[in-house]
Amino acid sequence: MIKIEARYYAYLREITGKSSEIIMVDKRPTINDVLKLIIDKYGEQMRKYVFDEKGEIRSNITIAINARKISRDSIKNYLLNDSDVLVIIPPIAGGIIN
Amino acid sequence: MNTDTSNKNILPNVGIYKKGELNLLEILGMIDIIYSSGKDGAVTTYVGVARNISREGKAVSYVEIEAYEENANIEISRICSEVAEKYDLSFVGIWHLTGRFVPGEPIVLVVVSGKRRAAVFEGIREAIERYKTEPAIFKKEVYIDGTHKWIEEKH
Repeated sequence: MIKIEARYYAYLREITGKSSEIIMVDKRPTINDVLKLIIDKYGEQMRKYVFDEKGEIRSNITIAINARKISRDSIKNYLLNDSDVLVIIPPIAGGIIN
Repeated sequence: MNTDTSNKNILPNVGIYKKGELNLLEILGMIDIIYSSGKDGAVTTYVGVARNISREGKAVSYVEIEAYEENANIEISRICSEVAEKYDLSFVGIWHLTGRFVPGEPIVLVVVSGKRRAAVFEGIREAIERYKTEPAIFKKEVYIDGTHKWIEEKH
């Protein structure tokens, strides 16, 4: 079994009700595989927050594996390893310089 | 880039700290360490402060800042070194707190030092823009009326 830790911050922690959880899968998953498991578990609210109408990850959402952001091009086929930490990074609070 | 960091090592490492772990105003009081060698002609600082009114005009009771610390520390370190190199600055520092802040409390400190003010002004501007958009740091505004909102800016 492969163990993936998913961590949740900000609004995602409100959707899931938790700051992290362990996701167990039979074989090495891709990022998309794990995202699908998370969406299946938490439903439409999570799906709409992470994915747009075309099923693409929203442009203001970033995926990090072991604290490193993954480029959007790499996400689809990115294979995870046992004990990897996956974070769906919500939109970052910024600010407009006037 | 000036690689003289002999005194700057006394300053805390740049990055994320929990409120109470680090006193931003104490770091401000120490910045003579950065320029006392005389190699730099300009130092500028920025303090980000919790505001009492949101951008939409709602009265703010407090803000909560949280961070994916492992990522935020990597990103903040990278921003500091990249901005320093880009503008040939001798020092770029960003210290960002997490926790609960009432209006008027400081949340983040940015310090930039270099030979000339033009580069220092450009450097601090870029450092600020980048810390607001690149590290995984999240802000929740809690309003006087009891509602709250996670701030999600479009960039």
